Parts: sequence; C-alpha cells; structure tokens
Amino acid sequence: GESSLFHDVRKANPKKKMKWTSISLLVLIVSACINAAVQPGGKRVLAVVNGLDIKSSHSIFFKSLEERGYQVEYRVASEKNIPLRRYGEWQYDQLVIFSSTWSLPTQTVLDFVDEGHNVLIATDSHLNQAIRDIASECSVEFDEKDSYVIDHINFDTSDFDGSHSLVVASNPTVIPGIFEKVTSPILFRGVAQDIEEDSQLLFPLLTASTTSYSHHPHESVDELHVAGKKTVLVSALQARNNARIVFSGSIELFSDKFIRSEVSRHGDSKKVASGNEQFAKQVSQWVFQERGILRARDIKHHRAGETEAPSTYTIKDDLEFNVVIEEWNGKTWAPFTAKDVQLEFTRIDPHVRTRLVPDGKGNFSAKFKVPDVYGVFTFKIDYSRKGYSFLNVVERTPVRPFRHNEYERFIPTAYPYYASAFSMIGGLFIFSFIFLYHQEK
Amino acid sequence: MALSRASQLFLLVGTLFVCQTISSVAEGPSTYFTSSDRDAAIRNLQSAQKADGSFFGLKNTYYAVSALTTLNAKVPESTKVCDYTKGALKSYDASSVFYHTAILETLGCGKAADDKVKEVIKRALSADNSDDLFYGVSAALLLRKNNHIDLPEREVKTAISKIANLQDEGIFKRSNSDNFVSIFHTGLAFQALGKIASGVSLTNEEKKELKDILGSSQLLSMAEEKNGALVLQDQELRVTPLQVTSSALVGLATLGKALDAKYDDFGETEAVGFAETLLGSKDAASVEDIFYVVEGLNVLANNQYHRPLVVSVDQSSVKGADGVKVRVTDVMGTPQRVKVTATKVTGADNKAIGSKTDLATNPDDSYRLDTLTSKAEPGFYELNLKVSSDDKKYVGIDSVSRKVKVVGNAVVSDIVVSVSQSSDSDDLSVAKKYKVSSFGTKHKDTISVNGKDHLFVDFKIKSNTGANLKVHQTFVILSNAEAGSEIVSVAKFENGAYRAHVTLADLEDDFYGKSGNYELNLVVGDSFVENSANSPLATINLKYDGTRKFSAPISPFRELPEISHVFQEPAARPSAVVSSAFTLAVLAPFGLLLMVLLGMGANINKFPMGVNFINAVGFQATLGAILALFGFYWLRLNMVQTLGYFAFLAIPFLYFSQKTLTALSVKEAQVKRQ
Repeated sequence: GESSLFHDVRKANPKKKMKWTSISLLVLIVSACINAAVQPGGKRVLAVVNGLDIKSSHSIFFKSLEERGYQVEYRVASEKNIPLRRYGEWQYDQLVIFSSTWSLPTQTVLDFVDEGHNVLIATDSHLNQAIRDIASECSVEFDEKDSYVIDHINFDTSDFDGSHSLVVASNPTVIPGIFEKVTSPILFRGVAQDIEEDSQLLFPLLTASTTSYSHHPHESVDELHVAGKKTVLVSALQARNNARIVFSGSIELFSDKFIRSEVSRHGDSKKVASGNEQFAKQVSQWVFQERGILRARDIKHHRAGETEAPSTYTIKDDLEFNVVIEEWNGKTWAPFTAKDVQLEFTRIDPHVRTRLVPDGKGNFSAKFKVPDVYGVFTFKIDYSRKGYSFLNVVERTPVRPFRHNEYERFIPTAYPYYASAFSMIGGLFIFSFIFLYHQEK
Repeated sequence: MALSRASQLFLLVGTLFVCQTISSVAEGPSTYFTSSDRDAAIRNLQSAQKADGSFFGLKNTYYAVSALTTLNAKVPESTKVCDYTKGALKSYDASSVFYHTAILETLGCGKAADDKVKEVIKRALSADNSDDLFYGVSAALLLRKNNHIDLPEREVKTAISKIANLQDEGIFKRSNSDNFVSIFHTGLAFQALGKIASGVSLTNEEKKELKDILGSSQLLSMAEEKNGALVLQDQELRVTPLQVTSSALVGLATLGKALDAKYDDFGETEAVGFAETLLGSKDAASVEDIFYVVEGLNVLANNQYHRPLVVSVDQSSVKGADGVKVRVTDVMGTPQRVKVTATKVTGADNKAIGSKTDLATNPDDSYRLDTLTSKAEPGFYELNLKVSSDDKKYVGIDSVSRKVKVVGNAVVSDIVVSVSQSSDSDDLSVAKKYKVSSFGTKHKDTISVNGKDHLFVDFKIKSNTGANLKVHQTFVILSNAEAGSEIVSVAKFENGAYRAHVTLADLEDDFYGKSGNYELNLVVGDSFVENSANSPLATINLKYDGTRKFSAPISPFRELPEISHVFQEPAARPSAVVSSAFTLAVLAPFGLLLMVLLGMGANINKFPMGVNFINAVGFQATLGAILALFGFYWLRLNMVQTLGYFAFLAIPFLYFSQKTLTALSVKEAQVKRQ
C-alpha cells in the first residue's frame, strides 16, 4: 500500500519540492501509526549523578536500561545548567537522580512530573535540602542528614566492622504482574523515609524489619524518628496524572557491588545471591511506566437488544455498557483481566455501582436498568489499585422521563373514566342521528 | 533539623582527618584488591563470555583476556577464543589488528603475520593519530617478540617521531586535527613509547629525547583531587575518569620503567591518590572497567617511582581473645615483608592502652597485635601503626591510623515488667511486678493491663567483664500481629540501669482502641555487641474501656460497595371489582339513553334522500371519524398528529354539515308552509 501511496503523491504533485514534503509528511504519518504501539513513557533518560564514576559502579543497572531501549545521558549533579528543559520543551522523558545533591530549582522536577514525566530518585545519608524538598512535596520525609537505617539483627556480615547500616531487607511489596516476589534478600545502605500512610498516591516498595531503626550511628538514641516496620527504604508515588516517582534512600541499592554481592545475613551460615538486580529492574520498569499502565478504549453503551447508543435514555430502560480495558505489559497492550473494576452511573451521587465483568479478552461489560430519576447521568469508571495507573472513564448521557404516550394505557382503576368518556362520545354520535333525522309520527 | 553538637564535632574531626591525609602521605589506602575482589572480577569476566568464546566483540575479548592474564587466571575455553579471534578479523584497521594480535599472542596461538596485517601495521606506524600509533607499535612489538613478523627496528622507530609530533609540552593530542589535548591519549602515547624503548635498542640520543618528553610532561598537574583520591579526566572525549586515570598511569609506569627514568611529579601523594581512585572502582562489573582497574592497579603495585602500601585490619572484628590481625600488602593484595610497630592504641575515651609494641608475624604473612584481647571492652579503638621497610619505594607507611572494632557479648539481666497506675516512675512500690527470668525466655503469665495503666520495663546490660554496657539500641516493642500495629519505645540509661516507660493511653490511637493480646518484646542491639537479639518478654492482655470509638484504617485502593437503584414503588390501586362496578355505573346513563330512545320509538325517517343523502352520510361519517380520532389520540397519537388529522377531517365535516343542515332546515320550512 505504501508504494502506491507514494506513486499517487508523485502524480498529484509534479513539483519536486512539493513531492518531498508530502513524502516526508507521509513517512511521519506512517511512523506515527507504528508508534501507536510504543511504550506510554518515553525512552530519553537523563541520569543526574554524584560523579561520572557511577557509570562504572552502577553499570549493570544502566546497562539493563539501555538493553530495554533507553538512551541514557549522564550529567553531574553539581552542574549548574543541566538542560532538562530547553526553550520550554522537555529534553527527556525520564529523569534518574542518583545523587545526594540537586542544584537545579526544586520546582523544575515538580514541573517535570506535573507534565507527566517520571522520576527515579536514589539518594544517601548525605542528601541536600533540594532533594529533601522534592521528597517532602511528595509527602515523603527523609530522616536527618547523616542518619542511617540500622539493624543489629538483619545486617550483612560484611558490615561487621561498621555500624550495621548495611541492612538486609526481605519484604519488598508484592503486586502480582507488577512487582513479582523477590525471594532473595535485598541489600540497602542509606537513609530512612517516613511516608504518609494509607495514601492513594504513595505506598512503600521496601520496608525494613521490626528490629530496625533510623538514627545517627554514633549518637545515643533518645528519640526515634522512624523505627520498625514503619521504616520505609524505598517508596513509590503515582501522581494524579499517572506520572511516577520512586524514592530510594540508597544509591548503593542499584550498584554493581550490591547486585553482585552474596548476602550473608548475620547469624545465617548460608550465603545467597542478592535480590537487588531483580528489585532494581522491577523498580525501574514500574517507574518508567513499563508496567501497570491501564487504558480504556471503545466505550459503548446502548439499550438491551440494540447496538447503537441512543441520543437519550428513558428511565427504566435496560442498558448495556461495554468497554475494552488493556494493560501495558512492557511490550504490547494486553487484555486486562481484573474482576474488581466497577462502573458507576452517577447523577450528583452514584445511583448504580456495579462490577464490570471481564471476558478475558479485555472486554468488560455490565447490564443494569436505568434509574427512574431523570437528568444528565455520567458513566464513570474510577479504578485505582496499588501499582496500577489511575483509570478514569467519564461518559455523559441524558435520561428523560416517560412521554405522555409511553405510560401504561389500560389501567383497570381508570375504567370508569374511559367508560364515561367513550359512552359520552357514543351517546353524542347516536343522539346526533335522533336529533337530526327523527320524525314524529 | 539542626545537627547536634556532638555530630558537628564529629564532622569537624572528620574534616581535619581528611585534610591531614592529603597534605602528608603518612598513610596509604585502607583497602586493597582483596582475594574476594579478585574472585568477583574473574567471575564477572567469565560470565561475560559467550558460547563462541568471545566476550562481545574483539575489543572486549582483548580486555577480558588481558585482565584475566594480569590476574593470573585461566582464560576459559582458550581454543574457542583463538578460533573466534582468528575469524573475527574482518576490517583491517589498526585497532582490530592490534586486538587480534594481542589476543592470539597472549594465548599462544599466534602465527606469522600475513601481508595484509603487516601492511596495516606499517601504515599505523606512520599514522598521524595516537590511537593508530599505539595499536601499530603494540602489535608490531608483540609480533616481533615471537618472531611472527619480519619488521626492521628502524621501521618501528619511525613511530617515535610521529608520536613526538602529537605532543604539546609533554601532553599529547588524539590526532593532529584536534585542537585540544587528551590525557587518555597521552597515556597511550607513553605506553607506545615505553614499549618501543623496551622492545628495540635505542641510541643514547633517542633515549634522551624520550626522557625529555617524559620529564617535561605536565600530565599529573592536571589531576583533580576528590576526597583524597586523584582523578584525571578528559573533558572533550567520551572516556570515563577511570579509563583516563588508568591509561595515564600505565603510560607513565611503562615509559618510566623502560627508560629507568625519574619522574618527579609522581610523588607519594600521587601514588596514594591514584590508588584511591582505582580502588574506588574495584567493584566494577563491566569487562572494560575491570580491565582498566586491574591494569592500573597492577602498574601501581610494580611501578618504579612509588608503591603505595596498604595497611589493613582484618575484616572480621576482634572477638575476645583473637587479637588484631593486620595485613600489609601492595594494592594488588600481595603480602609484603615489613616490620610493623604499634605506636599507640587508644580507646573511645582517648585513653592509651598498652605500650609501643612490635607486631608478631603470623604464618599467613599477616601481623598480630595482642594488646586488644578479651580484657578490652567492646568499642572502637584507634590503632596507630608504623611500618618500616628497606625498600624506599614504599609509601604510606610512616604513621597509619586504623580503627579497630572490638565486639563482645551483652548480658541482659534483672528484667522486670511493672504495671503501675501512676506515671511516677520513681515510686513503683505499689506496682504489680513481673520478673522475666532471663533474656530469651518469655514470662509464663499473660499480664493483664488496663488502657490507663503505665508499663515500665527495667533491665540491666553488662559486658563480659561485668561492667555496665551502654548500647545503641534498647527498644521495647508492643505489637499486635493481627492489626499489624507496632509501637517502639526507647529504654533510657540512668543510674546503671535501663528503663522504658510505655504510657498505654497514648497508644490508643495507634492501636485503634483495640483490646486484646499484645506481644511485649525487648530488642538489645549494638554494632559492638555480637549477640544482638530481639526477645519476647511477655504477652500483655490490654483492655481499653471502649469509650472512644475508632474506625479501622481504610485502604484507598479497595473495591467500593455495590449500589443498585431502588425504583419508586407504584401507587396502591383500588381493586378491579370496585372499578368494574363503577364502570358499570358510569355506563348506566348510556344504557338509559338507548332504552328511552327505543321506548319513544326513535327513527331516522327524516334522513335525506336523493342528492342530500350523500351529504348526510358524509356529515355523519366525518363526525364519527372526528370522534374516533379522539379515541386514537388517546391510544397512540400525539397532539400534533391529532391536530393534523383533525384539520384534514374538519374541511369535509364543515362542508357536509353545512349542506346537510341547510337541506334539513329547508325541508322543515317546506313542511311548516304546507
């Protein structure tokens, strides 16, 4: 088809210049069609790092990004003119901050996120105020400077000489399909976070164990900022616009050293390979929107037995609603199969809330009777599950009451009225004959 | 949050300490390329090998083979590597020929160079860029060494002037067309010159020329210092600081050794600073980086200027009677025979322990200090060591300060859980007391407490020697696994004992007012304590009075309850019998009408005949139709339709009615007249 298209263009545009513009335009359109199947987040990554040596110390992590098609550019955090935005255009789709410092205005990062881009921030115990500010804008509070997560029971024996700040974390958050279970323990050294609980936007990805706490290793403990299972090591935030941010209190978590390490938890004689590689990969896949992205398309609704949406529904109509919901699995849009997606039919308040039944091929459907309340109603799907992007579907339709001729016609109670009216009519008709044509004898 | 005074002091001391290391090189690096680093590097290299023997391309294969050889490790599947390499020479450029040659000659599977290779090498020897010159010289000398090429010395020497042409005050450019210098390529140029100097015989003038180039080079003045480490960087080129630093070091060392020349810029500070940089990357995982780390460290360990020595305290902390194990090695981890003296050992309170002692030698080439034995309390100790050696090349040995951690066991005793109605911690005489027999066993009874009570946990911690031990972590944890809630209270050290005070009323919010069984645990931990533990003390049956109501936390991600619309109930209707009766009643007048009409003998004798018959029929029919239209309006038509039909019927109706009524009145008039 493509060559014949070009042929037509050539015939239609004999001028050479015109021809090339049209061809390039066509190429653009064709490539736009191909791009329809690309990942929701983009592939241009800016990595802002403490020093360029991170390219070798964290080579496995960055290599895995490049293998997944990302183009990573590195900048040192101390640079004053990091070209995140040029002439109002964002130069990157994803931002990785592997640094304890950030020298650009905090607002830049927040603007970047507000416009739907993703940020992976890993820092350490020496983080500066700017990183702290970015975090607190997201309801994540990092503990004081120079404090570490310490665990005297779940630490790696290679830190026997140190202050037991090389902690072994073994309970990463599991969300099937998005964060698969990491069975191997994860090494972490860095600063703790305190995050808002029960938030719809923020949730922990990795927490410490009961015996852990966050404190300066060489100062006596009088007060605790965070301790026990509430000590968050890595947290994830999904903004209302589905932009994602991950905060890690440890840069080393992503390092070749930790990835290649064999974990020997104090007291365990067995050494096991660390789960850092798997964890880091899953974190980057999530934050760069390779996983847990939902989209809805082909929204259809109609009366039962029909196929087209009417301009308006009448109260008590039997209504059928269909929508295709798909999930991005890293390569393609695959059918979504969750059974807990709900549809609301709302006018001021939801009048109907019902489950959408999936058929396993991505089609979700629901049947219900339109309420006997009229006005403008909204079909609404507001699906938010941990790790998944927010799915918001809004479709409006009017609902009207019965017309006068749509009411019940033969009401037994009203028979006397019918009888009186029709007997009058009949009487008039008969009487008209007698009145006009009767001849007295 | 403001830093406490203690941490400010710590930072200050830290800064001073760092400054000291830079200004003098009394102390070398604190780590070296350990045997586990070596194992990890070898593992990483081997895991990068593909099934065909290659390590992803000719270049990486060269890096891997070189690094493995430098590490004295076997190159796995070396015949496969040779086969791959032989087949991989497709483009005859200088770099490919060099990698090809280097791999084959290193693995001993090289053969006499063919004409094509020879041609490339000859061309490279008179190239105008330092990359090709380096590749040409290196390949030529490798082949010459094994008699695999017939190349006269003078042809190799042509490269000297070509390389010299690229220099600008002892720093080289990548090629003559560049307008900037490159430290990385300076390293390559030095390596090439060094290889020539050691591979062919030079005249005294030539030697002097090379010495001048080396002597005049400002290379090391371009190093940047970062936390005591020295780094060389190329701003213009895409080469990592590690590669630049390593290349420059290898170049300096190769040329210096070949000429047996001095290079004053390479002082003790530089030796230690570069060692720090290279050792900082020793965990590198990529083949390329491992190559640069290993090559760099290898020349640092064997260079002829200054060799940094690493004095390290053995990884595992000192446990009781073991004593301190000190290792003295070069940066690659080879043990060095020296004399080690402990000049001073100080504890946490800066009190000196023991006197100046020489360390005894262990059979495994390490050194042992017995001052710190089981008598020492757990804590950090500072070890000041002096290393003396006859070899003047060793640096970083004059005054080495190392921290040693002595660990011990903590003995937790006298554990008492008290339940008091008062918050007054001084008077627990009326409190109910529960003694926990030992740390690690749980009290047999369930302790019943009221939500308004106060819980006190008292205990003592002693070291092995019986002295009071202050530990970092003394937490009392009250938790409910079912609700997933967990509250940590810190036990404070006072008058030789620890006490934690838990005000249960304050926890009501955290526990959502839930009464029931809670677990009371004590965690004792410290980095100096070997037996840090989390031990259950008792089960607490907690009763809140329930006056405050709490709702359990609601997950924001939950499914919402279903809603189904409740339709309006139809209004109640009277029974059909009643409406039927009324219907009959309503129909009665109609029946009466019919009966009256029949009774009076109603007729239609006046119905017109003749022409007017049609008019009368039309009149009656249209009247009937209009009445019927009302019926249809009720049954199925709407107002607009009805009016339309009505308009349609009205015209004939008016016409027929006018005709019929006129005819009737005319006839009546006639009758009257008669």
